[in-house]
Amino acid sequence: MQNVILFAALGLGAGALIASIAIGVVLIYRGSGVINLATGAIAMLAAYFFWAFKTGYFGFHLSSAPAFALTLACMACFGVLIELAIFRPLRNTAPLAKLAASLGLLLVLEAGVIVVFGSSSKSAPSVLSSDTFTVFDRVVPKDRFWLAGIVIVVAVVLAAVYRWTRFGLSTRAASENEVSAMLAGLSPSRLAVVNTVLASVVAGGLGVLVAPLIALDSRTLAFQVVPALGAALLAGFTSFFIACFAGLAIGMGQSLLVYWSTQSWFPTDSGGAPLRGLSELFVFLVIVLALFLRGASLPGRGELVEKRLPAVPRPERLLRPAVIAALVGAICLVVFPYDFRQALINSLLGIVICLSLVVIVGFVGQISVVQLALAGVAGFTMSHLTTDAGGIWARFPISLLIGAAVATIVGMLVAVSALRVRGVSLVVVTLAAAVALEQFGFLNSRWGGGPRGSPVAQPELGGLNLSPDAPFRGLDDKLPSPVFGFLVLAATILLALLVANVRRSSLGQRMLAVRSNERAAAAAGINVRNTKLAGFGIAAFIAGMAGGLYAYNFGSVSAGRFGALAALGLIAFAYFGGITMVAGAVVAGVGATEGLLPHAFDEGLGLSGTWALLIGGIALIVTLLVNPEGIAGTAHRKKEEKKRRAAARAMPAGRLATVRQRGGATAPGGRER
Amino acid sequence: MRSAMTSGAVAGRRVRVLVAALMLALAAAVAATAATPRSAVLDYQAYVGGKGKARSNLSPVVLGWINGQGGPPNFNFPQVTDVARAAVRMVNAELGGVHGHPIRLNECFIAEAEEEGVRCGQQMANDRNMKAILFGAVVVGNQSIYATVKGTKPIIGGVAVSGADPTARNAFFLNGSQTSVLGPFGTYTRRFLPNVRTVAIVYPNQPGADTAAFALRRAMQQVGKQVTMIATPQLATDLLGPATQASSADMIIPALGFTDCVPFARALDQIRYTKPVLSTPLCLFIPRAAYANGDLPLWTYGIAQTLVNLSSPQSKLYLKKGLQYKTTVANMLNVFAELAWEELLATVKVMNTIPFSKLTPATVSAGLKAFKGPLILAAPEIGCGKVSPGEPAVCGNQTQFYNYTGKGKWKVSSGWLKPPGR
Repeated sequence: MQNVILFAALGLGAGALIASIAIGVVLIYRGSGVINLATGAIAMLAAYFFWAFKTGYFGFHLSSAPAFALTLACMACFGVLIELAIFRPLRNTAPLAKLAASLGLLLVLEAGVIVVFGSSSKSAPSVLSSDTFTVFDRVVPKDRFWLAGIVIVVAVVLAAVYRWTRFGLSTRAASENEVSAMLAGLSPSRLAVVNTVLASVVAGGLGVLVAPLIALDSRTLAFQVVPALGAALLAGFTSFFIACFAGLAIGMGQSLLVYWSTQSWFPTDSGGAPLRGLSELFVFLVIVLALFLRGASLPGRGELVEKRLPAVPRPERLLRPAVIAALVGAICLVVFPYDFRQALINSLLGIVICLSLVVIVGFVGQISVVQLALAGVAGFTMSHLTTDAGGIWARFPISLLIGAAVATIVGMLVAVSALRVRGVSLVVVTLAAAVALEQFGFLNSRWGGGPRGSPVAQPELGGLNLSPDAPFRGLDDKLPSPVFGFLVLAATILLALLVANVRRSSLGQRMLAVRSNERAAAAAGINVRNTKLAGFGIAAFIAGMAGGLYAYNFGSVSAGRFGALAALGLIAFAYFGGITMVAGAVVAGVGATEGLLPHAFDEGLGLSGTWALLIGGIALIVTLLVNPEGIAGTAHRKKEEKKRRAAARAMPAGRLATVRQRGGATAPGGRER
Repeated sequence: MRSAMTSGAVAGRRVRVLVAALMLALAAAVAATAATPRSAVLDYQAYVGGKGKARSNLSPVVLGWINGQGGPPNFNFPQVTDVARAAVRMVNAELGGVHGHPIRLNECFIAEAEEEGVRCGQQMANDRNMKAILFGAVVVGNQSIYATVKGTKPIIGGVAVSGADPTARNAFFLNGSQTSVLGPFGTYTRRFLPNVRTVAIVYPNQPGADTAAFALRRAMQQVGKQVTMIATPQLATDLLGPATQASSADMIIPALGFTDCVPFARALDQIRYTKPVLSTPLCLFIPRAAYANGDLPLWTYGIAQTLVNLSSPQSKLYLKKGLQYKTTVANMLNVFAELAWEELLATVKVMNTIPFSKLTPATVSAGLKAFKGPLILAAPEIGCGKVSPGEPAVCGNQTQFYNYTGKGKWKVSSGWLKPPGR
């Protein structure tokens, strides 16, 4: 028992780190309604500023107190900047747009500190005393206890401020109903600025204190936002107390797990290592349980209505664009030089995985971050079919279809756990599921990837080699073979047609009804649960197909390709393209990792790595500000408006007035809901 | 934000400070027992079997070069490419290239995505003039490279760091793998730390990383030590718990990832741990400035190459030639950079033993299989596919140990050691 208490206490440092970021997440959400994925990065930025002021990196040295004060002042300015430049313009957009913008901010901060401070790790200066004391005959540093104490005090103060001060009450009022708050004479915009500044200062200040526990670099602190999101979710994005204690508990739990993992009873994998991902699986299950108990099958009548996602136009023609895409794609695959051929294949793969998001996010309105992990499920299934089963099971297309089927089953299981959850909570549940799948699934040597890699048998059908090294090599006679490109192109077009047809079908109409208003849909006789499950199932199948094609492309699968952070990037760029349309998936695919656009930038401008990350982040934010519906959505709206204006010009005045009175089949702005 | 001018001035000052510090370290290390082994390579011309300037009118011999750079911290090694380019300049300027033909690198870089591994693999496989592929520090995309190249060209690396490396087709990791070069840790413990009875191995619970930890456990058990394995979770930040738990043992081996070394060292320091720590070389990859107090922990490090911080004649020659061919001391001190230098010269040496008319990827592979060493700044003898069971791509299994005594000072702690029983 002594050891349990001791090791739980030793986890206070890690817990304080998570709790401090979780408090920042809650603060920003209460003020601006944004789940800010960049909260950890804000803490990281403050730690870099403090390091720079202390070490004279900017040309002047400061002692700890003035350096800390100046750091907080910088973070306050930074808070004003991000609120005014990014979050305020997006206030009336869908939560996903804000989430994507915060991911853009994360990318900018991550790349920005590398550009300004260099890529090598730094030693963050300590602020707290390094004295020790003895607990159960072990030497224990006092600073972890100080840290935990400071985080708890901050949570208490914030809770008091939001409960008893006029500012806190105003913020609560504005976060629950902006219109009513405005009618009461409050300014939600001003409150949002103050809250974001407060969040930047709190996250930054705590970041400076916790940074000495780690190597200060552009990632470690920034990526602690993943466990912090779990803590914030348990707190319902509102309670500072729960966020704080959940964060501390996660850190203490991790420490205890390390201790228990050395005990003989602890489960191990096939290699004898402690079973991986148990803490991530535990966090996921706790989140699901908490939300299941707290959630409801339908949102309450008085519940705040979510901001709508962009419009979902009904595709009018399918055959012509499909034939044109097939012809143009096939020609490009043959005539392109090999590097652009591969970039085109990468883009097609990006389109397929984004199509999965179009169904589940765009049509059903369920913001799921687990799709890339489901692609990984398919990929690892195929690898196991290759290495463990062999024979007919490893052959194309059987292994591909089995992989997609397993992904569909896992997707449905995730869906069942998420049926009573919606909106931003679903983001966190599916993010936790993605992390659990990665850590507990893909990294496990028994049912995930082995230490020696996870090969996948290359596709072959009736003696015809369909793999990237098939004999036909295009005009330049180089790898990859256009034949593999044809396979990916065919799959992409078929899946795009499937998605477009879903939108046109009665199932698609039901999905849109559920997306629009679950209560109204249920009242109209639509089975909300089954509609959601169908959406999750179709999206999971498409993600599984994407995973299989990825595996053929790489010749193997690796856990890193299907990680949770890559999934967040994917959903942000899918939104950037236009998450409600097949055309949006195409735009997002063009910008996929090593896709046509990044490759062209790399070849033409030598833009890759950190600079590409920086420019990608800025482009993501700017595009969201200019086109909150995504590129394809805005283009479609403009096209429709142009058509309407042309029709209006061609129509006699009396008839136009009649049409306007009827309202037509199209909502204002050419939107179809 | 700093102006460009200030930035340049600061960078220049840092370089000068670094060079001065290195010179100081070299001078201070005169007392170090850096005996020159008989097999040490001190004449590059004799080593590669060529001299003079390569003839620019002859067709170049193309070598592939894949390196991890342009990405996030700890996966970003531009220094390695810089040193490899300097080695190419040296080979072409004074080592006669390959049979008088200049060598040229066909470069490809991986920032952090698996897709970049596919791109690099294709770039290498599609260059029909390419005879061999050299790896710098490649930690992402390895599986995709192997799956794309499919063993059509020999791949030459320093130490196998990815789980897929040791069994890759037609690959040659000259210095060894995580499994092979960690075996000597057992030999070292038996010979130099006889009082150690219990050992705690702290490692990240990830595929690949645990391979190294299990190799260490095997080595320690082979020499009769009792081992406790402490696995840290992947997203762990503060490592006070694992450090406290490990502190019960007579010796700790941190087999940690790059960034974990810093919090672990800090945690050991905070709990006043004073017993021996025997570290894998990964903790040397992090710059000194990242550690608390701006200096490496005072541990013993086992490494499958010669540390250039010492004033050995091999190190002096490496530094002199590198500076002559326009790289920097800071770049050359990177451990992967040293490996790149070694790989390139070993590859040229092997190629020079093959008649130019017969120089093909297949003959280079055959030459590498027959190559017995020595390596520059590394083990005196190697044997590709013969030194580590189940690891056909691994060539080396020897490690040297060094004590770090602080402020840039090193002390050689052992000569080249092999795993127990070999």
